[in-house]
Parts: sequence; structure tokens; C-alpha cells
Amino acid sequence: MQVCPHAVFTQGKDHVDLAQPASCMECGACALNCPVQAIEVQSGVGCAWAMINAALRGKDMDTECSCGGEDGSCCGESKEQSCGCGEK
Amino acid sequence: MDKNDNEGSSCSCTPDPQTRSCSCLADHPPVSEIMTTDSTITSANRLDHFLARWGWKRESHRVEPGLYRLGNPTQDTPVFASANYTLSFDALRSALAGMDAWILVLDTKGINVWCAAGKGTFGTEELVRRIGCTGLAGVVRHRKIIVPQLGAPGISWPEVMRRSKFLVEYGPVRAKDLPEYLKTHNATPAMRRVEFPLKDRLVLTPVEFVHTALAMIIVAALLWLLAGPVAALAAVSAVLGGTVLFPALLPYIPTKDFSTKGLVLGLIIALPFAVSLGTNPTLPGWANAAGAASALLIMPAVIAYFALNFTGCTTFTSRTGVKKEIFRYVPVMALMAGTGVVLAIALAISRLSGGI
Repeated sequence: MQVCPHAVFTQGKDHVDLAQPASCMECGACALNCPVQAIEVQSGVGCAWAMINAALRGKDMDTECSCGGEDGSCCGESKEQSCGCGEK
Repeated sequence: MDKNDNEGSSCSCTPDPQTRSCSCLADHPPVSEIMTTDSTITSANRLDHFLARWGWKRESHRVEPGLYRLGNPTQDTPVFASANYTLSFDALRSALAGMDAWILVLDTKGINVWCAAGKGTFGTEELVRRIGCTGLAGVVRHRKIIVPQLGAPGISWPEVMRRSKFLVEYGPVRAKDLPEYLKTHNATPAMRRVEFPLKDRLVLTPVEFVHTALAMIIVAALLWLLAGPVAALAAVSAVLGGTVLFPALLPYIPTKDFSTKGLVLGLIIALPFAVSLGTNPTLPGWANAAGAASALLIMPAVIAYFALNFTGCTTFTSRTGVKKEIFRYVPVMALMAGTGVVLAIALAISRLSGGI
């Protein structure tokens, strides 16, 4: 509930209710931060630019690029950015 | 700030797979030096923000990752996490004006918190690593770190807790709400929600426009030579309509999805050009009709495409929604633009060959 940027959930009696599923932007914050791992989200970013580019390069639209948020179109182009320092 | 170079290079990411692994969490973690910052936004900072907004050297608006001291923090002062994008870091440090704080800047490759979280660079791994790198556990007595809420798509707090013993506390979405938040450490529902007001939409338009400006100038120049100033103006209008007007009017255009919103706006923008191109008394009726039709077909298609591409800049589109939209509308746009271009070429050929 705390991490959802679009108030998709409301607090129920002994659990959390999925009140506004249509507002969900599939960011996946709820799934990662659910202490009992009760949520599953196929997370990704709703960026047409990235998906079309991925499709044009013959790559998978779902996994190739992530972008979005408040600061501009896409962020998956440079070598450095796609390098996986933080990821193993 | 630059004293941190050694640590920075050994820890940050390099394309060479040999040197990629970071040894900060090894048995003897190299504790990096603490840097100092303040809450003042200088004119140099403002210039940097302006250039960032215009897409100038987009990846160079960076802050050195590491631990920063703001004011005179003690062992009990709160720790705030941020991205190493100047706009993110500056928003945080200026929001904390007059307060003491520790700021832990993660290496997000110069990308803002939300984008980086989506990509995973503002993530559990980097947070845990940076806590280790900076020796944060020896700097503060408490074990709590305030992370911006929009970092949550990259962070798993139970995982951070398990690996670093630090408790992640999700702060508000916007840094400017921090002073209010810190009074109670409870974010109001409004602080937790992402809005996308006119100001936030407009601030994105320069980058969108700059991306297409060169192509627009070339197309407009060609059209001026081949078809006259009205056609050139139509090209400029389509780009400005798609990259500036569309974001500004986003919530006011009827229909729900971005493509149809773009088609509606495009049709309105195309109308005067259709009238202008379709009422040339020196040309035969079919040529007028073809001119008007090409404007009505090409301009809405182009604007709808810009509109669809704006999905990535917004704060609320979902991957499945956008994917559906691509499959549904991109073929329509392509068909419209294709037909329009064929008509325009036919018209140009008959004019150039002296047919009309």
C-alpha cells in the first residue's frame, strides 16, 4: 500500500484490497515489497517508444528496454546504461 | 567531491566484463570518504537543470555516488537515498534546507530514481552495495534509510533488511514533501500518489521536441522546395502539435488511449492545412482533393505516433496497455501515413512533370 504510486490498494480488515486495478501501471513495487510475497506482477514499463524500437531491432518487446517516469523518453541506449553493474 | 575517484571507479560499472565485479562487499570493504554538500541551488545548478531538460548531453548530469554530509549530521541523523542524477540529488538536498542529513547517492548512471528503479539500477543490489561501500553502518547508530517512494519498483525492503540490516522507510513521492513527512514519518495519501500536472508535462516537452527537431527541419525544407511553404508549415505544425501541444492538452483531449487522442488532435491541427491545400483555384479538382486528403491523412498519423510515444514519459501507462495500443493503432497510422504520402507523391510528380 505504501509503495503504490496510484493508490491501487486500500486497507481491508485483515488484508489489503485491490480496489483500483485499472489504475495499475505495472511497476511491480508492490510485489517486491510485499513482506509475505502475496503479489505477483509481470512488471514492465509502458513506453511505446522503447517497445517499438525493441520490435524493430528484432528483440523481445517485453524485456528489451525499460524506460519511463517523469524525466523523458527512454534510457536504454548507451552502452554504459545497459551494463549490469548492479545486477548479477 | 573528486577525492572519491578511486572508490568510484572501482565500484562503478565498466563495459569490460573482467573488471565488472565490485568488491565492495568483500571481507575488507574499502570505506569511501564522506563528501559534503549543502542545500543551495546555485546558478550553475540551474543551468545544468535547464540543459538536462533540453536533452543536452543527457547522460552527463551526474553526481558522484557515495555518502554525503548535509549540514552537521550526527550518528542519529536520518539517512536519505537518492540517485546520481543532478535533478534528483538537487531536489533532495534543496528540500532538506536547514536540516542535517546524510545522503546516500546510489550509482544509477545519471538516471532519475523512478526510471532507474524500473531498470533495476536504483535497486536492492546497488543499495546494499552502496551501504557497504560507504561504511554507513559505522557512520550512523540507527539502522534506517529513507528511500523515495518511487524507488520502490527497484527495491525489495525485506531483501535489503536481510542483507544489510538496514530498514528501508519509504518517504514521499516528492522531495518537497519531506519536511512535512519528517514531522511524523507518515506520508499522507496525497504524498504517496503520483500526479502529472501541466507543469510536469510541459517540462518534458523540450526534450521531446529536440529529439525530432533535426528531422523536422529537413522534412520542412524538402517540402518547401517541392510543395511550397504551406506544406513546410504543416510539417512544423505536426511536430510541434505532437511534441508540445499534445503533452500540454493530454487530459483535456477526449478518448482514453493515447493514439486516438493524437488522431483527434491531429485532425484538428490538419484541418486548416487541408482547407488551404484543397482550395487552390489554379489546380484541378482532383489535385485539390489529393492535397487536402494527404494533409488529413499524414498529419493526424504523425501526431498520433508522437502521442503514442509520449506514453513512456507519463506516470501512469502500463506495459500491457501500451502494447495493446501499439498492435491496434500502429498499423492504422502506417496505413494513413502511407496513403497520404502516395497521394502527395502523385501530386508532386504531376506538378513537376507539368501535368497540372
